[in-house]
Amino acid sequence: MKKPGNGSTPGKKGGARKAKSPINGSPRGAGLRLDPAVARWLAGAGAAFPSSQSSMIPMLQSAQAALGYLPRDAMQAIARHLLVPPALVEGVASFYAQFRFNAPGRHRVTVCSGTACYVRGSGKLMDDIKADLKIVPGGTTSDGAVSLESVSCFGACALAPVVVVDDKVLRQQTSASMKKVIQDISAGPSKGKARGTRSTSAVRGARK
Amino acid sequence: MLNLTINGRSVAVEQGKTVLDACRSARVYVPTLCDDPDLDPYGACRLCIVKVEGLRGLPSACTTPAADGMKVTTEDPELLEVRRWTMQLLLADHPLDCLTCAQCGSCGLQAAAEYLGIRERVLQPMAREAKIDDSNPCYAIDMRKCILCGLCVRACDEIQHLGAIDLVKRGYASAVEPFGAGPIRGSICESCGECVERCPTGALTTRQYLRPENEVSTVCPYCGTGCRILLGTRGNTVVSARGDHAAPVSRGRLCVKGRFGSFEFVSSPDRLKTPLIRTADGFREATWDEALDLVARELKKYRGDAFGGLASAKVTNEDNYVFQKFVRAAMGTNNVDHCARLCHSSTVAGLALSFGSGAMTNPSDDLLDAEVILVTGSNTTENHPIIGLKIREAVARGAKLVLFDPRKIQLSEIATVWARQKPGTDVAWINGLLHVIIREGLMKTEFIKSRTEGFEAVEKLVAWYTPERVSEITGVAAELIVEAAHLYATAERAAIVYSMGITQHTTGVDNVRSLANLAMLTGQIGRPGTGVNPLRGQNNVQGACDMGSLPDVFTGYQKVADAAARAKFEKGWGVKLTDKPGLMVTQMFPAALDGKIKALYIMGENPVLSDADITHVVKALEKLEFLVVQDIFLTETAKLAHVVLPASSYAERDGNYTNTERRVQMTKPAVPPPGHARRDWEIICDVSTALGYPMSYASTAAVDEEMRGLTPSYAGISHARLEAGAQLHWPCASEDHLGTPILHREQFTRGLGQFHPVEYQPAAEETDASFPVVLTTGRMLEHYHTGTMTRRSKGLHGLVPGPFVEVNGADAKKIRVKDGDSVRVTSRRGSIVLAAKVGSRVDAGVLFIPFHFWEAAANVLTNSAYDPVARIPEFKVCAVRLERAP
Repeated sequence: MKKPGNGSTPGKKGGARKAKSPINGSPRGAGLRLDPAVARWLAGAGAAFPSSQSSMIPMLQSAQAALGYLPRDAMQAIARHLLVPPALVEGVASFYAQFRFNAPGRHRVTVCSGTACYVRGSGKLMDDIKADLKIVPGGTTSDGAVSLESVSCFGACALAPVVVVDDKVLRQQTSASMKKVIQDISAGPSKGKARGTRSTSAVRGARK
Repeated sequence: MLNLTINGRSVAVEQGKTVLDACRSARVYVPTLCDDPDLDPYGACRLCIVKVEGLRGLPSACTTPAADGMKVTTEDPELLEVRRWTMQLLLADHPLDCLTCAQCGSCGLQAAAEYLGIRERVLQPMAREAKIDDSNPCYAIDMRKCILCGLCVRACDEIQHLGAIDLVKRGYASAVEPFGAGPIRGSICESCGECVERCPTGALTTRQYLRPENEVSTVCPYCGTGCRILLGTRGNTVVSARGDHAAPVSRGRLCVKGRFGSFEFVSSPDRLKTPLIRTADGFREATWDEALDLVARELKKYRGDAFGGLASAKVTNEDNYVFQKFVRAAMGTNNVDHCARLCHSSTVAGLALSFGSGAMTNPSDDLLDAEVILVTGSNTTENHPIIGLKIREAVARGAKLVLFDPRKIQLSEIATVWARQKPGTDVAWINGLLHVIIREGLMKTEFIKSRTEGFEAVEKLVAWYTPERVSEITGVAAELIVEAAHLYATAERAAIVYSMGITQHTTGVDNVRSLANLAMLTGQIGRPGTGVNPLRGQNNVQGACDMGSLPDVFTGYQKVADAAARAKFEKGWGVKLTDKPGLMVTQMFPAALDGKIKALYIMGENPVLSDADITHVVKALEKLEFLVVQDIFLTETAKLAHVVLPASSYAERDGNYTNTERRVQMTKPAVPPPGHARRDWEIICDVSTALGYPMSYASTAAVDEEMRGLTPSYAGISHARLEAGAQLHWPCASEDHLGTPILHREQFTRGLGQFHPVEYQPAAEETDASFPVVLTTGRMLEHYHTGTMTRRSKGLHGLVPGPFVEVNGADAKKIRVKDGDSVRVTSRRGSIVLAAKVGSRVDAGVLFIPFHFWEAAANVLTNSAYDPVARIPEFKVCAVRLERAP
């Protein structure tokens, strides 16, 4: 009989729809010229995955872990490896919030917009940070220094409003304190140095 | 059978059907938006929800398998309420500009809303950020109107086997996009329009479309696949085209040319509407009487071998029959030929020598049964797109594709083995395959013994062709030769598909006979899923050959030199016929230059662009004392004529076409010819009558009756049977014969299959210091032949507006040329300037130019050196020089 479809809402992903487009059956046919970093990942970690659609999400995760995000080439390389059209890989990847499609900035600023932080002013805080960096959540400054993100709750409500800069949790932030933090990280060359602010080692890593 | 009760009514359906199928069998309407008979059930729109006794909730009828004893309710207040809310959610962000929407009147969403009695939008509309992608000239994309039913995505995947688009992101941001977010024009989309045809809303709409009053099923005017198009008309104008789902070959599918480029030219203002007579400074319009008088008066002077006629692979069997009869009976010469000379004359000659019949051995659907498909010299997905789909479908189902092609065509992406031979080295690699198969004992000895002759000579000859030696000649790695040989020989069913990459060589007949050797060696012939399958390039090129528009044969390949055949035709036509085979196209032009041919009658061909070394062709035509061209446009060739006669296009004809599978299909006129234009066969009859050999037929059926009385292979293919919908492949000996879809089943047409030892010979023109690059020419997906029809389509013209040459990145770098820069390509015969398309489709040292464009005609460059038997020119190889254009 005809195979019943996935019987759920459109956009439901994760290989439920088996591709019938036989894009690529040939390792020799793969004349793709890949970005060198992607090619390195594919030759190493990528090649270890079996060529089956169930490898798709693990491969996407592996590529993102190695490259920091999912460049176009990585999705194309995965499509080749799994013998599916690249559009299907992008369709699956873009369904999940865990995948990024742009290179992240050198520093990552994550503002909590959970209930406790919100009542303590994280909405205004986010607006000011946005104005300051001239980007919206999900974006990266044009100089590649800072990526801005918003999360729903860190689980550190006692410290509200909370902002996490790289791996440091900064408590009870104000627009003024954040301005200073951002100035510092925008100027500083390296990662993970959020100087001049109070950090709480007790909740470090709370977001993990 | 399963027995179900739908709304209290009992209905029986087959095992494997869904509840929705059962509802339809019971003639119960259930609204759906995402269901399509050609696609797997999906369950996205949630409108086909039903209640099934014993099942919880409201399952969707399309995804619920029917089961015995099921009691189904399709409509009650609760179901209606849920459906209405689902519809309200869909409408919440759907624009309500129905009156001005391109889909108005045929919109699935509109129909469902109407059925559910929706009278207002109750949810506060939210502005959805959605893209309008205007990049494709054939169809428009307006994602604001998308309801995410997934039909387009599934059509691209399940029908086109491409996967160019998919649903991306989630929730409110969900959208249908090509890889990399678009625009669609830059993606792998082939513009086939299967998605557009299925979109229920105005999200995907055809640009050139008006809702038709009436639809007529015709055969597509382009390649030889034999797809059928439903041409929509309003009054005397064709306004739409879509696939005909009842069509046996295409089953509703069409390529970009058939769907978006098949009708604008029909009502083009450039169509010829009255006869034209040459004056000192151009042409003047004339009446038919005047023009026919002039033609008859002039042609009377050239009876016999000073006259030549070019028939056409674009017109019907009846037109061709009447034309060759006119040349032979009225003009007293066998100088009749047509463009098959330039595409598959080597097939007709080669396969006739090997098997006894020079045509495709199996129907195209057989490819779905093959375990291995060997494709060579055919860019199938571009030039025979619907047969290309069958190859892709076969591969998706697990068949293995072995591809020998110098260019990185789309099929190379799905090939198990892709070998990139140097152009012109085909005999060498085929002999290599034969060598490996014999060396490893993979041949079918029993088949060779009982069905063939001449094997020993081939065995001896191919002993030299070790994979290593072959590798040196062809540039293909020895392992690939071995792997290809294994795959092909060990498959239970393996089919060979080839086209002009094999035939258009000075060794064309040798190439074809080599492929025949390969099929006979392994017994891969005469069964479903096997065969040697030349894909014919024009919609009626097979028919034109069958009808005797060739210089050495009457209809059905009965030799003019054969006294018995001649006697039969002399009796039928009541006139003495000559036994001397006539001149071929490629001999007529040199003969015209020598003054041996003084008058030519060209029906529906444009040799000034299509033939090799066209500078020569033009000189020959200019030298003629009298040239008549009968066409639908004032083509480059017609401009040189003394008299131009306006003929009818495919949309204006009735009659039969024979497709590449030898399947005879009937077509009906959709509109009358414009102005004073007339049917081809009627014009020829009048000319012949004016010349003193009266010809007249009441209808195309009357022409067929006469033809099949003289043609054993068409004897059983009557007008009445075709009218009744019979699918007949010739040979069909009598009216109770069912036709022959597969040739050479029990024995070959010639009795035993003939092996031919074939030695590799290099191309006629090899590269040297002054012309160091190999040029190969051909067709492309978006255009057809000399562009007379396709370049008048806004969509096709928009996709590919002008000429280009494919150049390898390495070669481009050497002459400091970037993609899009102008380059000059020069051969010993001429020089053209055109844009470079830099990439990896061709290998370094090879160029490819499509021959559709008069601005930079590839055939200025090509070599007219031809195959000694078939006289086909070597379009596929000539030596050129590539330079940066100033």
